[in-house]
Amino acid sequence: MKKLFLLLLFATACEPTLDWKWTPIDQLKRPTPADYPKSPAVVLEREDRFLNLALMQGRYYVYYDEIQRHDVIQILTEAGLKHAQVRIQFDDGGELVLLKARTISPSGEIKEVEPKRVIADTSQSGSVVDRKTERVQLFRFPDVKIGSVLEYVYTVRSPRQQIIWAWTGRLASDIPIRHYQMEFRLSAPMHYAFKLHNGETKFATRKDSDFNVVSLDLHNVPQYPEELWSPHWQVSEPWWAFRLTGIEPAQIMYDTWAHAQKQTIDDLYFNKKNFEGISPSLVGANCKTTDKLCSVDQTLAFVRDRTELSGFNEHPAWRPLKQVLSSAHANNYEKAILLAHLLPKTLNAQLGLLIRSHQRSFDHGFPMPREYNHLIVYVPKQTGIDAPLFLDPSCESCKVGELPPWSEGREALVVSGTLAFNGEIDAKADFITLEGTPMRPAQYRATQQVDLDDDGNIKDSVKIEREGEVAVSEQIDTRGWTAQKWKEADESFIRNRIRNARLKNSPRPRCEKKRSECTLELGFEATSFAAVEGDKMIVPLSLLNGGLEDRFRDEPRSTDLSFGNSIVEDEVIHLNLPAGYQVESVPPTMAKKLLLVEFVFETVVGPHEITLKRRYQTHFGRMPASAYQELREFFVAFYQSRHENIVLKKSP
Amino acid sequence: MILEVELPDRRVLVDPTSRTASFSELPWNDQEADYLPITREGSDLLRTPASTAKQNESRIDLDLTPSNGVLEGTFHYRATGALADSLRHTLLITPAGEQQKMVANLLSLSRATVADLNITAQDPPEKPTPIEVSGKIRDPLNRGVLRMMRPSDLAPVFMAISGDHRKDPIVLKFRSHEIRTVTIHLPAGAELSSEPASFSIETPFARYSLDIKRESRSLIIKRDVTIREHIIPASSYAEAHAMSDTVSDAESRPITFRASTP
Repeated sequence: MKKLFLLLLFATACEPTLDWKWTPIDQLKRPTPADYPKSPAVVLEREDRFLNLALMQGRYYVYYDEIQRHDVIQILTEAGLKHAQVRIQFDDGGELVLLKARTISPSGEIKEVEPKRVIADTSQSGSVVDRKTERVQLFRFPDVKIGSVLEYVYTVRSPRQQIIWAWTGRLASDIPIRHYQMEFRLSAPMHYAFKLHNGETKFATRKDSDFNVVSLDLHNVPQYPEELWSPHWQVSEPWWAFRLTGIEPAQIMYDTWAHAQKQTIDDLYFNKKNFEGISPSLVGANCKTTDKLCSVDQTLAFVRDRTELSGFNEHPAWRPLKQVLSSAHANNYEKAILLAHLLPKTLNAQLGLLIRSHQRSFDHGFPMPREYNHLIVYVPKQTGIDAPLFLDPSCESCKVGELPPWSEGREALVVSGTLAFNGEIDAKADFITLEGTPMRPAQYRATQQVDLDDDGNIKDSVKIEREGEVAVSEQIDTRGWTAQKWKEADESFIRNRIRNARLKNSPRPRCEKKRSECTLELGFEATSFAAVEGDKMIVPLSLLNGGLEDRFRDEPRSTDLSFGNSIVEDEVIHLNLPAGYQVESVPPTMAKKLLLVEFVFETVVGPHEITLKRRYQTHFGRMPASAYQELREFFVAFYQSRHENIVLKKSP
Repeated sequence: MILEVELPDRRVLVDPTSRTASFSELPWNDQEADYLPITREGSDLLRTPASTAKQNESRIDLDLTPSNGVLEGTFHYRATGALADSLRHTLLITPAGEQQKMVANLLSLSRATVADLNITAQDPPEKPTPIEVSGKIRDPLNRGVLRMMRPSDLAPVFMAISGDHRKDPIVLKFRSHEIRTVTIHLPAGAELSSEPASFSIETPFARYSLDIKRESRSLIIKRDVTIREHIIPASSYAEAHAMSDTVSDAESRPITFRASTP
């Protein structure tokens, strides 16, 4: 959502507002739980209505918007009773102008929520980077039982001179929607564009007095799925986007990508409070003025050494750079902005907006503000720099010219601008495809050195190595873990393999961000791991335990399979045999290469040792949902290997 | 806030927010809590009643036969008290299409598939009533000419305890008694090679026994767990940890048998 303040005078008068009415009870067609066997409730009707108003009052326009949600929900099972409690949340500056709610019992009796039963409060959300205060209204429907219908409607009005400039509407929710209706009412001076993604339904447009009214009707929107490797919702679910392309007479337009990024450009380059105390001189001057690559390299190292990557924010948010440096940690946006402002001005470094996911890309034909979740720095070709440079400082191991998988090959919208005397920004925005050497590939490797004695007991030394993107994720995910938390994680690792294993040593992992690698070594012991049976010994392979073990159930699949960046998961076990034993049988080798997934399981038998290797590798891409069952068969067979045995026999 | 109801013959505490506790029972999370009756005269701080392990009982019977790489057969689950309340609650909030998966997890056999579910006394009762669930089950088995399993493959972890020390007591949900009996019928041509000895251990807060025996061409594994106290003081942490480890060791001892087909 993007809202913009228009700095104009306003006056109060009789003002348009969104109307509403209760759903006629006799028109309610109530489904049974059998109609939705996997859902505890169903939205019978959902209306999302919007009002974007420009009202001429005297010599000036008054602007505001209203957003209305009207839901009719039927409870199907006990689990659906949670929908009886409603939490409405909106921006602190907004005003709740309408809230009505009622319960319709299975027999048709109606009970309204009394206004005095609605609790009003505020809540804070976000992190230190993007904390915001919101207003909250809480209420509970009365006398709700299975079969009840819950209906509520609320309208929130924005502060004066604020309207909706862009909006993306996700339709699917955690329960199915039988009928969805969107309606947008826009004052005549507004020019606009709508687009429905992943759907064929057309928007309807009509005139209603001084308003243009755009609406959309959709039926049977399924609940969003919880399936492994589901594509991003913007790729698989229906959703709509709206933007204002212009407004008279304000002359502010989202008609091009450059115009849509004006606010972002202002924040990135001209908002002085963000850059106070930050200049290239902080980096020092150890390079010759003419050696531009040296300057780039040094500045990149400065950002890496002075700030630790705290994570990837999904929504753009950053703090003043002075605060970033003093905190010694930075999110992905902060790293890029810091780098851009520390590079010598003569390099003309610019910031590039990026969508990190390989599944999504900018819709060139539909400019939107804030449709990005990452930033990179672009240095154009110039004397001393033979080819354009793309720098992604959130990759802390990347040298100049190297790019991580979350930006390599992606399209960036490189933005820049100049500030005129009147405060207007002359914005520029160009799509450029990022080119660079890929950083080291993502790899997870667990290597175990196992000593097996002739009573079937084992001593195991485990080395877990993460490289590339998985090491970056590990560092972010485990920031702030205590020694106790590490110990619990290590115990979980070994007990997922052997329930009675005892952890013997579990030091903290070593991470080297300059190389994007983390290494963890731990040791454990277990008694009666292998079974001694006469002159034979049965060794189970439960020491193998991949990240996706038992995740592939025999269930229908509704979404395509979408694989992100390539990843390799290796498990290697060196099993040292007890003296006097030789191998009688090992499980068969298995190797399979599908379009986007490769599996290998093999055993190598030596005179005193068996080496087990299990690897799966995924490649970026997408497979149709219909391919799931075949893929599942291979995964099940692959992971079945941990339920196999090796049989040893005592040498004669 | 709960309610004290004065009946002709006794006073009963009830918590109307629980959907599944019967009239004369308090839900487990209200038990053994301080409560202050609000009366005109005032009252001392009192303690809500506790349920015993005997009242919160479950019996699980799995009758399985190895066949073509799976263990398949039937199961029967019967629970009383807080265990019954808890299961009823889970069933109530689980859509019909998800109940089979939920029951496989209830049996602690997450890889298993469950079919032909039959549930009796599912609705919240007026007075304490056992709930029973039965059906068919298929659980993948490890392969190989020689086959091996452990009692731990067929039962949940007994008191999962991790870490070196603690300052706070270990708080379990409620006292309980669970008997799980797994009968594995050996198919023709298969024979049991070895099974671990039976085992038992007792502490002030729990009693555990594992009984493994052969009967004709069947292997019967019976696990009997009584949680005597639901709050184990931090001073007893080492004893609880040792008990947990000892039980893990006992349950991890292998059972081997020869199968007729690889």
